[in-house]
Amino acid sequence: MVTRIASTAINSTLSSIISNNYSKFAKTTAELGTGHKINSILDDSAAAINILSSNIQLNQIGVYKDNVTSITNEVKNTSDTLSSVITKSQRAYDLATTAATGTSTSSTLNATLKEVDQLISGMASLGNTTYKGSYIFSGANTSTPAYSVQYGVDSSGNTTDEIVGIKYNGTELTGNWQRKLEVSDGMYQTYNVSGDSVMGDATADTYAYAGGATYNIVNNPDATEQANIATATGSAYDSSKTYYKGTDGTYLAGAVGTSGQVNIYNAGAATAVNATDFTNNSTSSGIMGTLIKFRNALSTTIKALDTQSNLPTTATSTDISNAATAVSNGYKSINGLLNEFQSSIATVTNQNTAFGTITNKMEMTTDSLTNSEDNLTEYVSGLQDADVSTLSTQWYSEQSALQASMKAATSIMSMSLLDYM
Amino acid sequence: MSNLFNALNIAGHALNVHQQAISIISNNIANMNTDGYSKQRANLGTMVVDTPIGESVQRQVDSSAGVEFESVTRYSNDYMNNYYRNQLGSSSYLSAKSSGCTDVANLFDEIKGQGLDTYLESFYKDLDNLNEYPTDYSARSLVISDASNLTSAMNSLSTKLTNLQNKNLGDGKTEESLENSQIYSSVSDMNNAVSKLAKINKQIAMSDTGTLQNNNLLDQRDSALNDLSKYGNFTVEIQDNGEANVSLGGTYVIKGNEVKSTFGIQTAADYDKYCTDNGITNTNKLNAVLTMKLDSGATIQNANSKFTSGSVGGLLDSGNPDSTTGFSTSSVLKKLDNLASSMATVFNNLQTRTGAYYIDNSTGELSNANLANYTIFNTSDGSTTFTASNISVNSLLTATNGAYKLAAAYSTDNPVNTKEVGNANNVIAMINTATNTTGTDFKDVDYMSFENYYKGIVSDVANGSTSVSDAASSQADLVSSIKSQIDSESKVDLNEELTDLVKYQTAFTASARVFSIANSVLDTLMTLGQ
Repeated sequence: MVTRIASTAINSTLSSIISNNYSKFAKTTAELGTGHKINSILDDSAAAINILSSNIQLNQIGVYKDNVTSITNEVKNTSDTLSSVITKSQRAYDLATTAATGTSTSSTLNATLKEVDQLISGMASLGNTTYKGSYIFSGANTSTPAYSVQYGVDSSGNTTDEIVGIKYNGTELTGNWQRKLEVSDGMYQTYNVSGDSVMGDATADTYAYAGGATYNIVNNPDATEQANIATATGSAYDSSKTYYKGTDGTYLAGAVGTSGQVNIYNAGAATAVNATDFTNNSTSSGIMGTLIKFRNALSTTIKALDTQSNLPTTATSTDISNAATAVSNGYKSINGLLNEFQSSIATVTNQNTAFGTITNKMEMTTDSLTNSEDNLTEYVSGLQDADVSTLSTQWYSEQSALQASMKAATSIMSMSLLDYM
Repeated sequence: MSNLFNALNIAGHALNVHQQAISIISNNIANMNTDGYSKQRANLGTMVVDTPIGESVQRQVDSSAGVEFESVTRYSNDYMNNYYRNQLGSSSYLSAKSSGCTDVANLFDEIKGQGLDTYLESFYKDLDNLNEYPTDYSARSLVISDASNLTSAMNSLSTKLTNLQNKNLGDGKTEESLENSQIYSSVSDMNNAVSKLAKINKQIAMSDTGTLQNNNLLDQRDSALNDLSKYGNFTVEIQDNGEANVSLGGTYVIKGNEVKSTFGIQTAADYDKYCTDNGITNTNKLNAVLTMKLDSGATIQNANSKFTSGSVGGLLDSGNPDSTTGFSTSSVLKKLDNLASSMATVFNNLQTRTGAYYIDNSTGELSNANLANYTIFNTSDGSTTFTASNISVNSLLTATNGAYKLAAAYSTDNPVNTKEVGNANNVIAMINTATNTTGTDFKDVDYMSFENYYKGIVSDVANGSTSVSDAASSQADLVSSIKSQIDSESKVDLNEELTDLVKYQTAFTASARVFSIANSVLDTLMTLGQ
């Protein structure tokens, strides 16, 4: 028995077939138009989510690559600066080697002293190198110059030309000095070095109060610091006085470490304490410390030579002997610094080597990131981009199918017995 | 002679019968494209005059009376019709769900790079930049700006989702929103369909079975039943006289020609009040609650559970947070709220924790004075609970020089080195929220990173939409297939009608010829002997 098939039912079926063919054709046309197989998350949910994940990763890789570039550039800048530090240090070492021979005259040593002062200023200047607006050797104190040259103070409290120290103002090695950037998931690369660890610290005039704070000399205070001093002392800043700032925020005024009493100021109130209760905690490390020691040794030797050459004709043999001993001791102290120079220069050289390692590591990281980026980009392209040649063939095929179904429908729907009656 | 008159009678009667048959064919052809029309066929039978038993064959032949019109048969299969209605209900349900899911999916424009994930990526990228330049004001401003863009995008997405939800079921609070919702108009249409069916039942009861009129009414009945089944899983019982009794979840909706229950709708707030006033435990989670007012006067206050199929069932399910078909708009909204809440908590805690420091732009040094006031995120409506609709950036940070208040530094030193303005340890902690998610602050996002949690939302929406869409498409194909089968059995076939037309036309012509000849013979007889 033949199943009954109504002509009107056939018409519905044909209409449905044309609609399906048109739907496929329209979708393929849209894909060709955009060049993408996936234009929304509904086109292929699994592929869409994979694209989303991959794009998140690609963006992250872009961030890591930017960070690697930043690290590489700053490390190079720092390394170049350290090379200059080494050059100056080598010059200082050469000067020390010559001075240590004991054959130099007072005027020769004076000339050496002047050059050493210039080297110290130059070294401090190198220590205050900036990169993109930040002081690179200050640790996290990026807005503060890493080093400031300290000058002596005469009995009247006036600043002299004599360099007494190179104070490190950055974050100490024990503090949060590191600056680091992320170069892969959860992996950070430190790209700075604290000045005190590589070039040292030669802070003069630091005193520790027994059972209390540590006080550092305040050299050339700015307006903010002057206001702080005024608040602490209860009276206006006096440029003729020598102030020391404590780690607890209090202030000292006057000479410490000798005799008598000094005042500790806090919020306008003064507390008198013994000057002898303060211990000199001046620091000396690294090339900065060695330079200051060399300067001090030169100064002492020059004074000894001058004393020796200015002995009166009435000087006793003891006086002559003492003067000769003082000169000899001066030369010995200079000679004793030669090993320290080498050690300090080695510290800087080692840090430069470490930076070289970082640079190599960043190059490898870049290669790895680029590989990952290329692979992911290719993967996303495979998911999202339409294969135009295949799609074109498919488009023509679907167009033909659509046209064929329309022609067939037209032909079938118009057929009936009416044509023969 | 009497045989001649008999022949005339038979021929004349046959002309009448074949005319009626042709008129049925004419009705079929006229309605060949009418949706819901079932082909009707004339049933002809031999008209027999009773003869006493034992009469001769000749007598019996003499007593046959031609053809008679017995009945009109309607081509219809009740089983297939019932099956079709069941599948149509499922199709309408899936279609409503699919439409809702697609509307939601279209809001997640991630492939074109305009979705929420783009703002999240930008935020983290600029946090990374801030890590490199913690003292740079423009770097800080960028982060604040990204945070603003992110919260705006969240607000916008939340608003659009809420509008979609309200479009389906209203906002659950106001009558105005309910009256503008899709379900309100569906309930109204459903009641109209019920009324219409009751009227048709009444007409069916008054018509004779097997007549043209009765068959036409049965077609209308089936059409009305199909319309009704699109709304819900109604159970249909066809009575012997053709009337259709309809029930829903065991409750009669139509019995005979009487409407036994009318559908209504109320907001969730009104239902909640009813439960409170009557001491009933309220388990409703949807914004709209359907009611059934019975002809006895009683009212079923919550009939939502009776709708497990149909477009009404689909609309209700779209707002059901526990839906297992695709997803519900309310569940997506809830996840988005979780994301906002967790993000605000995590970043605010990092921003204001002990040890965090911002830059006091008057001194250029670190400070933590009044840090608790400088949260990154606030609620725009003053609420203590963060949602995707109310999360915003603290205006103190968006004000002039406000970006300095971003606590980039973190130090446990006491006292802190206030010159450590290059300290970006707090920014690093913020960046690490993309990978380190073990803290309790991440509980609401299932201990995932914010990007991965959002990706999960998009995945749920994409997969849910696709699965519902595929199911809807598959079901639509099934319904179409069943419809084709029904149409094949019951629809008018033009060739068939034309064949019958020719057949009845030939019979009519032949009967007319017989009538003419018999009449001519009679005339001849009349003139005999003249």
